[in-house]
Amino acid sequence: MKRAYLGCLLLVCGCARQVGPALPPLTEVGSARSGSATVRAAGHQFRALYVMKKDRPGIAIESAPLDLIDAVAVLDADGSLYVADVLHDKVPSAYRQGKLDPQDILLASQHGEFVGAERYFAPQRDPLLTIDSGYVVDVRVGALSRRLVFRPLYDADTYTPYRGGGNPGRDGPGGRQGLSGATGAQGDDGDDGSEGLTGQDGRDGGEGEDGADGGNGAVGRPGLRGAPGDPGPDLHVRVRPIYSKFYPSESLVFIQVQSDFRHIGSRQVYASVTHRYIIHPDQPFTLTSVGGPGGAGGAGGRGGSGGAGGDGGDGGDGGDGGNGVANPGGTGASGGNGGDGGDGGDGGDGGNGSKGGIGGIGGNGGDGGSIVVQLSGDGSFQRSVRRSLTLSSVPGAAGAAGARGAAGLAGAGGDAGEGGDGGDAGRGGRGQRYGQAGLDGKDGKDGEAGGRGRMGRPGRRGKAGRDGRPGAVVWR
Amino acid sequence: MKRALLVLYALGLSACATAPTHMYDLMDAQDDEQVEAAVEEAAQHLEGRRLSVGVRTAAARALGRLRSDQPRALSALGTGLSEGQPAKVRRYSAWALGELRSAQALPILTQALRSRLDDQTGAYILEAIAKHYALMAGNEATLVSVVEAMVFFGGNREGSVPAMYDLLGARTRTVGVNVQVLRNAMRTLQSRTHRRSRAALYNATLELLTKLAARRDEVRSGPGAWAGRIDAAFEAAQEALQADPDDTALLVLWFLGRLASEPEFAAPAARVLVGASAPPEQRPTRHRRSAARLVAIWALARMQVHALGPRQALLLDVLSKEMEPDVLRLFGDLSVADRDLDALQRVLLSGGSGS
Repeated sequence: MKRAYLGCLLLVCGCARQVGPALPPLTEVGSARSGSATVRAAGHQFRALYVMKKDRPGIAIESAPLDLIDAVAVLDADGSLYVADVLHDKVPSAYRQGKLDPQDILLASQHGEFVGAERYFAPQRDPLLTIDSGYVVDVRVGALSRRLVFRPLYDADTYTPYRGGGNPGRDGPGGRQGLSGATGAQGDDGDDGSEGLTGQDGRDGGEGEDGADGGNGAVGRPGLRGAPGDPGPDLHVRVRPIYSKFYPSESLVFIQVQSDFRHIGSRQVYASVTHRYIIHPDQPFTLTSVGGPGGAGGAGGRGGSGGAGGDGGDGGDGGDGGNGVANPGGTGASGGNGGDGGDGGDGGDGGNGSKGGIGGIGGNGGDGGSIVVQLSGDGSFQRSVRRSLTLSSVPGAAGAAGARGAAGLAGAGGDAGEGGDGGDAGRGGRGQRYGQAGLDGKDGKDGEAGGRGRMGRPGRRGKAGRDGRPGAVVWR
Repeated sequence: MKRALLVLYALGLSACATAPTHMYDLMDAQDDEQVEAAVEEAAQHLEGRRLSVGVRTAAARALGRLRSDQPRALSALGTGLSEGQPAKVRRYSAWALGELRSAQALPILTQALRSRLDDQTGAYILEAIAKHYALMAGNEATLVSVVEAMVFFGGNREGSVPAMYDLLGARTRTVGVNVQVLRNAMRTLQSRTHRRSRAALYNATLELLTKLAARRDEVRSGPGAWAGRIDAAFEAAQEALQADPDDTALLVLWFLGRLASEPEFAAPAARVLVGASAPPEQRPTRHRRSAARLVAIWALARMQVHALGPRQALLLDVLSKEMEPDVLRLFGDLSVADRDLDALQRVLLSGGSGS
């Protein structure tokens, strides 16, 4: 570690001389221009305040924050006029030079708030608050203030159409994988043959046992059903004529939508939300209650894999033949033959893979909420509302079917047992002539490998849920 | 291990092959031949984008100290000052160009004022331009090009301009120069409508009218000598008003009102507001922006004491057509005391005849 630090130090030393010259200081020439500053209200006795609005027809209730003031001007006691025309924009400083300082212009409204450095106006969302007053904005400079009134805009296309939706159902959990089959037991090895006594043959080795077959895998578990979606909110809609001095020649349409939200299977309302709208007559507007979509069914579990077949046991080795007896005066006795090796056992067959699980059933879509409209006003008003107001109770979409479980894998076959080695031949006995040697035993045969099990089949796909049902729409 | 460390040190040295101190050695060049060679070497290092900022600023410093305005030095310093270079390289290049005090260095500096600059780099460029004052004094064409670039720079700053901007401006900006600068700014705006060109036009108008307002005492004491310059300034201001009918128009109208209480300014200001050069529907009193109409009416009310046209304009253009309550309210507010006739009443009583 110390060496690493030393290395870094050397690198820094190598580059230390790379630091360039410091910049020569700028010449001191005093402070900035005298006439550059904006005009602050504090040093003046203003006589009158003028506020000019931006050229816009009014304020829509759901509009994004907007700039309202085009310019503010104040008349000083000596007849000088000071203007500020950059209240909402970011501009080069030259544009503020010699003008009334925007910081001294205070904007306030009980019908919304001025947001950000640009002081854009974000209107209140309740149309009833401004139907009589309009959007009132107070502009203050020093001791002077002016009140501006902006007309509310009631065009139906300035609103987002109402759409209340139930909660979607949860997706069903996937099924578990089926258990794998057990591995087959390995066959026992054959016993080795015993050595022959003097001059006698060795005993043959025993045969290896066959391996057991692997077990079959278990069927994958089915996926679980998706949860149903919640019903759409029940809409209690009240529609009546309403009047505003900003639109003296028409009877406007007031719509109040109370949305009661319930969970599926429960009568208890867990949330209730009210929206209000004022629109011009005969302008199309839509209220929708949508059931929550059902959850997707869980995927079926994969089928269990087949167990591997057991390996065959090895054959036992043959026993060696016994040596012949010595005969010093004559010919030695013959040696015994070696015993044959035992055959290897066959490997067990692999187990079969199992079938995949069935996919879960999709959850049912939630029902559309009921819509009950209480309509007031004279006959022509009611006819106009029925023509222009679209009420829609939309069922929730069914949950998708769960995917089918994958097939279980085939078990591998067991390995073949090896054949035992043949026993060595016994030597001939010593004498004037050696006795004849015995014959070597034969090697045992290898067993056969076990066959591979069969692959399982995939499970069936689940069924889709059922779409919800539309709720009732009732005009009263 | 020792060998490895030595190799590392050697690598470090070779990576930083040229040290800034090597550039300082170049400043010792004596005869022309040595200077030429030193300039070439320093220029190469200043232009070497792969070299460290330390080496490049040292190269710029060497070029400044060598004070040679060879084309090779100028082109390298121009590269160092250009947009996209590190701020410190730009500042040192500006400083070095200032040290040259050469007629060839000045256009490079003025051109740089039109590029995107941070405040401190701008301050170094202005100081470098100020060092060239002896070269520009008395040469109106040079002054115009310098002031034009300054106006572009000043008009596009978000923060306040450096103090040097005003100090240099006080020496370089005459009313005549400002008028020419404003006309050039309008030509630029016609050929290329761009936010930055529009800001330059606004600032050129602001500089001209501010300069004129600052000369009020001189105008009062010798109006004859100023008549031509005032006419030229107001003609240019009127063209600016038409070229940018939003921000610049409001600025011009406000200055007309501010100056129009002086008799020497009232008549030419009235020509801008109600003169025959523009059709009545294009007059500021019929401007689509109520803020512009308010300021125009304030200006007319102030100049009616010294000129005839404004009263008729108030009667014919304003009273018969104005609908904006805040604009009409201004008439009453212009009355100084409660028992005085307000400006509106005076216009009504005079019947627009000027009596």
